[in-house]
Formats: sequence, structure tokens, C-alpha cells
Amino acid sequence: MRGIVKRFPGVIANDNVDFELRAGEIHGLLGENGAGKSTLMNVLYGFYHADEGTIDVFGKPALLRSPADAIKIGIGMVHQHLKLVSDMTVVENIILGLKSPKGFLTDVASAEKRISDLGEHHGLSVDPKAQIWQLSIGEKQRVEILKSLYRDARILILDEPTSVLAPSEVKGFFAALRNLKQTGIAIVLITHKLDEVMDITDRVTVLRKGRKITTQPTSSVDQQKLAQLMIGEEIPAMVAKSQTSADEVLLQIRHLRVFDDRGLEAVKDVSLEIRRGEILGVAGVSGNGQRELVQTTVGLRKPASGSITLHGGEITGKSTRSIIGFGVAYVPENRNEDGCVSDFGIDENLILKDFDKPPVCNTIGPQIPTFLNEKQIRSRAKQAIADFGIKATGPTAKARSLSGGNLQRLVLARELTGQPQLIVISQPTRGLDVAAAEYVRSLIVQQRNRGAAILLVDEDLAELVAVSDRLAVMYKGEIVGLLKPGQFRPEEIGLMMTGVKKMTLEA
Amino acid sequence: MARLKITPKLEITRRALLTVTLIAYVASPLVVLAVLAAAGKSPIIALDALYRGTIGTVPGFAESIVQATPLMLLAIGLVIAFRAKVWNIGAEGQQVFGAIVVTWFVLPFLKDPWPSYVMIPIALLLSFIGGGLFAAIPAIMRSKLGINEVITTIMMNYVAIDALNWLVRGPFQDKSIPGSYPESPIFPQQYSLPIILSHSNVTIGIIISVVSCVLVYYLLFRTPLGYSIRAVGLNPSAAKTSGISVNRVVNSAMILSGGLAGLGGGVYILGITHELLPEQASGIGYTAVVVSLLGNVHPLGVIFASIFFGALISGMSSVERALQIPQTLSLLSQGIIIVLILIIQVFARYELKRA
Repeated sequence: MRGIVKRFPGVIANDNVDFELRAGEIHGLLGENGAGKSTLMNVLYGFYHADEGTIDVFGKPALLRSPADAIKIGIGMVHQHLKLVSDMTVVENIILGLKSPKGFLTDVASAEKRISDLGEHHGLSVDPKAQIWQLSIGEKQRVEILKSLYRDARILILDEPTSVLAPSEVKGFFAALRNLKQTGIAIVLITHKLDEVMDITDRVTVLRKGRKITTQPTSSVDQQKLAQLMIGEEIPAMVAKSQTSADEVLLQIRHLRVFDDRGLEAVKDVSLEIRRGEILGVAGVSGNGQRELVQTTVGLRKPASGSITLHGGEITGKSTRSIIGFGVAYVPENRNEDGCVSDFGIDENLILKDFDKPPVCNTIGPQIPTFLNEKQIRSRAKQAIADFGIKATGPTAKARSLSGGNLQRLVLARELTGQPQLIVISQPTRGLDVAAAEYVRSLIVQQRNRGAAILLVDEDLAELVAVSDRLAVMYKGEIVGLLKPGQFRPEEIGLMMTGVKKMTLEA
Repeated sequence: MARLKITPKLEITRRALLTVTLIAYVASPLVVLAVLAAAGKSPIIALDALYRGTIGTVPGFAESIVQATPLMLLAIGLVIAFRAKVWNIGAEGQQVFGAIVVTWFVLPFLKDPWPSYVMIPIALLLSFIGGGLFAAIPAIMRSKLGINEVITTIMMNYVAIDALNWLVRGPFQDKSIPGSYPESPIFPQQYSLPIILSHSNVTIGIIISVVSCVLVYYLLFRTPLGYSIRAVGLNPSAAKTSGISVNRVVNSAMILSGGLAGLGGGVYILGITHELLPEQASGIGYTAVVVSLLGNVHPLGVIFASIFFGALISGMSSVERALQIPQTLSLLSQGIIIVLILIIQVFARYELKRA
């Protein structure tokens, strides 16, 4: 790929980027969020059209008008968010969109055979007859790769494949990648994890702000060097935590049991407590009940049994609205879907929780809301933009126009107003660049120092270790470890997260 | 070489929307002429008739306003529902039910009713309540049982229409003349909406309609209820996460929407027909869906779209008379115009850029 330029309205995602991939190599594509990694690969995959630049594949100029063109010449891509039909079987997903050799009839039997062969040969075996929804994330990923291999891909683009895997799964996954490499397949590994680059890649290309910084053999760099290249500046230090007298228990969860959407027990007899001025981190591979735990705490899901008390008062099964009224703030993991209304301006998004209460709403007496107070709403927005450093064209700029970091600032601005007692935070820095993530972490610690109790659910183990005062590890709906500072050893937590190790908890 | 490329816009600007809508409005008469020319009719005569039936003459203008009046009320009601992403297709049934409730109120007081300023407000209020209650049924079916409101509101239309047809042949039928038509007795003068344009049927109904649009504007953009309606419509999941009761909002939007449709039915029967007729179910509830979309689901847009549609209906009937063409040909033109307008509106979402 030579001189690739891709512009989106307002940004240049790729600015004159050259990229070269050799057969039989694993090539790391490293960069922060928004550095242009995915864009570049989506250009190669025909998903986007480059505004400028040329692409040669296997020595021939390639015309990539759509993914179909890319697939035809042997390029396969596995997206970060897997694109599988969950009510279909593995075979059906893999042959989806392909012409059947039998004309109108699908040829499931021979496809099944080929898929099992491919799987075995490359160490990617999955049961071809299984329905997708029955599979773990790791298995689904294998299906995606098999899908590309089934289409005779010689170039495999993997977009942050390990972000959804448990540490133990990563190992097996990497083994499979090495295996694929042996057969001459070229693999692009999009990532922002340095250890992975060091671990598995042969060469690495670093992108920063849409520009290519360098391509080097991995053996010639180390993590320190890569981090420098990637960020281009020193990594800012963590916010210092002040000592807080974390004595008073604010949130107490006792013997909580919660069912998930499928009616399966997602939270099993969980008991936790959080004190004022304390950050309780919850570690775990996603899908181990953290989501249900959080939703139940903020009143979005009803528990099957158990109790949740806030400052001694029962909030179990109360409505979200009344729980918010008790001083509970919630920063949901999915900013776009649950955290904001994309088509609302910053101003309107900031009043999502108190739009019918003073000061943003005028009232008759203390209770009956009448009209929104435009002046208050506008000035609140201006204040939040200034206080939280939201980069936007103005107070009425639509939330959808904000970048991930600025959107998270907006959500935090809303949730942190009114000095909440308990703040439930889920994946606060997912998808944010280093600087934005750092800012978000500093805000969380600030709230802790102020005396708020914080329940922090996070898949980023490094982040949890850095900010938590105590750490709970969840596995299959249970708390399998409860760690105090000094006990935070990532390898050990990793073992707990994957169910290998379990602590005996004192009652 | 400068090439032009069509790219989607990040944000649809108000200006783009207005421009495009204006183009649609201007282009549609041309479509009518094209259709008629294709059918071998003189476009010159058609153009003249269209002009006289809309803005060219006082009667034509009056008829346009008369046609626009109930349409506006139905469409503005739908704006509330559509803003909450509640797909109320039941304006037809709701306006019919509003008119039925009005008739039910009027019939016992046929002789010596109280004066207009007492009876009309009561009748209109009842039509609003009737439409609201009628819409409450599908609203509750959706919020309590999760039944899709598109299906239930459409089915409720048939309930209302069949009830109407039964009532005008049964309990409500004018029995004073033996073997009479399926219609209720004619309402006494006290129930007629005051006329505001002499020698026409333009009543205070148009004022009620426009004021309703303005009120709905304030409701949607200046009150907490309107805010929650828009929030639920744009992102129910975020609304729920922030403690908004989605079901309550959906119910409110649906009931208000039905209420305004009911009021539209009330204004129609008290302003135009002065009796309950099977023709109360004229399909206006479906036209209102188009009008509300044509008005960009915005109160001010709905005012213009309703008047435009009223003019279209009035103008086309003038063309029908002038050219002696069947109504189907004018309905065909209307259909083409609607499709054309919806296509043109898509362009607001794109812009031309140098590639």
C-alpha cells in the first residue's frame, strides 16, 4: 500500500501511509485509538476507498471496490466486533454468501468436512454444527478466521483480536496464529498492546495520528521504545491518591443472585461492600456477571434474591430513578448506547437525569415541573465544557459529533454533578486514547478522594491495579478473589479470572 | 480534474432541510402537469385550474384551508408519537372515535342546547378525550404486553370504522325520515364552529389547529415531558439508564397523539359535515402520516405541510372539474408527489463535494 490518504469529514484518518506486508509474517500494526490502524486496514479490505494512494496485492495492482473484491484476491478480515449470525450454525455462517457447488441447494456436508479439516490443520477447531450463540467469544473468533481461510485467504487482518479474550485464551490463539504463519499466510495484527507485539509479531508498523511513524523488525525494538513511538510523548503519571479514612461502609451487597436475559443465573451469591473514599475494582473477563451486577446495583435489573443497601437503606429492586435520587451515579460501559443520546446536543445530554427538577426545570411549588429553563441548561453546558475540557463546537454540538474521549467527558460531567455518594463505573476508558484515559482515571481518583464510594468494573487489568483500593475478581458469576493492595499480582488475577485459581473468602 | 462526489453529511442542517423541502413543494405542481400531459390533457388548462383551486381565488384558498384544518390536527398529533418513535398509524380510527364521542354528546341535546360557547368547548374536549382513550388501548397493549403498536393501531382503525358504520345505521341514525340514509341527525346551529372567513367554510378550526401546532412545539422543546419524549425516541436505552420510565413516556405520547387526532375528528364534524357520516372515515388519518413526515416531524413543518396538502386536495379537485378527469387521475398525481417529496428529502442527508 503506497501513499494511502483517507479523509473523513474533519479528520485525516490516514495521511500518506505506506504499508508493506510479506508472506508468512505476522505484522503488528500498532497505534493508539484513532491513530488510523483500522481505517488503513479497512482500506485494504475494500471497506473504505482511499482518497489517494495505490494498493498492490501479490505484485498486482488491486482494485478494491468492496470487501467482495478483497475476498476474491485472498484478503480476509476479522473485525473487532465479530460479525456472525448467532442463530445459525458454524457451517452456515462460514458458507454464508458463497455460491454452493450444488446450485440452489446448500452443500452442508462437504462444507462441514472442509471446515473440520481446516480447523484441525490450523489448530482452530470448532464444532461445525454448533450454533454461534452456544460458542465462547474465543470460539467465535476462530469461526471468523475459519471463514476467511475457507475463502482461501492468504492475507489475514485481525482487528484487536485479543481484546475479547481471557489471558489463557490468548496463548492458544497465538499458537494458532504461528501455525497459520508457517503455511505462508500473512497476518496483520492490529493492536495497542505492546506485550502482544513483542510476543508474536515479526515486524511492527507504528501509526500515530494518521501518519506512519516507522516499520521495524520486532527484534530491534523493545516495549519502552514502542510506547514512545506510539504515544510520541511521555506517559503521564497516575494521579496521586490521598489517604482516606475508608471506614464507613456505604454500599453493601449481600447474597445477591441475578438472572441474565436468557434466564441463566449470572450473579451467584455475591456479597461485597464499598466504603466511602474507596474504589472497589471488579476484574473479570466480560460475560462473567459483571454487567448484571452493575445493572442490578443501579436498578436497571431486578435481582432474584439478596439485598443491596446504600448507607443502611434498602435499595434492592428499586427503580433506577429512585436509586439515582439516593445519590448514585452510573457511567455505563457503552457510552453511545446507554450513556448519551447521540442526536441531542451537549446541553440536552447533560440534563438527562434531572430534566424535570430545578434548576434546569422551573416548577410550581417544589414538585410540579413546568418549563425547561433554557438559560440554566445553556450555562450548565458551558460550565461542563470548560470544567471537563470537552472539545466541541459549542454547547449545542450533537453528542454524535464528539470523539470517544470527549463523549466520555460529557458522560462524566453529567454523572459527577451533584456530588454522588456512590459512582458505578463500567469500562471507563475503553476505546479512549492514552491522554483521555489518563484524564478519566484522574477524575475517578478525584471522586474517591472527595469521599465517594466507587464500584469500578473494568476489563483493563492494568488500570484496575493502578486505581483500585481493593479488587474483587469475578468468574462465572461468583467472586473468586478479593484482594487488598499489595496482593495485586496480574498473573494471579489472570488465573482467577479464568477460573484456574480461587481464593477462599472470609465470610 | 475536479470531480464531484456525493457524501453523507454528519449533521443535517436546518437550511438543507428547508431548501430540499421547498424544492419538493415547487416541483410537485410540475409533476401534476406532467402526469396530465401524459394522459393527453392540456397542461395549460390544468395549471390554470390548479392556480384557481389553491391561491388564485378566494373560494379556492378557503377550500385549501378547510382541507388543511383537520389534517393539521391529526398530523401534529402524530408528530408527538413519532418523536417518541411510537408508530401510531391509528389517527384514522382515533379521529373517527373522536367524532363518534361528539355525536354521542350532541344527540341527547338536539333540541334547545345551551349556547355555542358552552357546547362547542365541551364537544371538542370530549373529542380530545375520546381520541386519547382510543389510543390508550394500543398504548397499554404495547407497554404492558409488548405488542407492536403498528399492528394494533391499524386494527383499531377497523374497529372504529366498523363502529361508525354500525352507529350511523343503528343507534345514531336519523329516524325522523323513514328509509333515510346512513347518517345521524344534523346538528343544530349551536354546534357549528364559528366561521372566520365570510362566504366560506373556514372556521376557527384552523386557528385551533395552528395553535395546537404551536403548543406542541412548546411541549416538545420546552417542557420536561417533551424532552423525555424526544429522549425516548432517539435513544430509549440511554433514557432508561437515566431513570426515565420509557413505558410511561410511550403511553403519554400515544394518548396525546390520539387526543389531537380525536380533536381533528371533532373539528371536522363540527366544522364541515355537522352530522356523523360514514365519510367521516375518509382516509385522512393515513394522509396525516405523510403530512407529518413531509413536515419533517416538526410542528412548524407540519403547519406548512398541512396547508400544502390542503391546497393540493383543493387544487386537484378544481383540476378534476376543469378537465373532466376521473378522481383516480388526481389521486395518482398525489401519490406520485408524495413519493417524489420523500425521495427529494433524502437529498438533505447528502452533500456534493469535490472529490
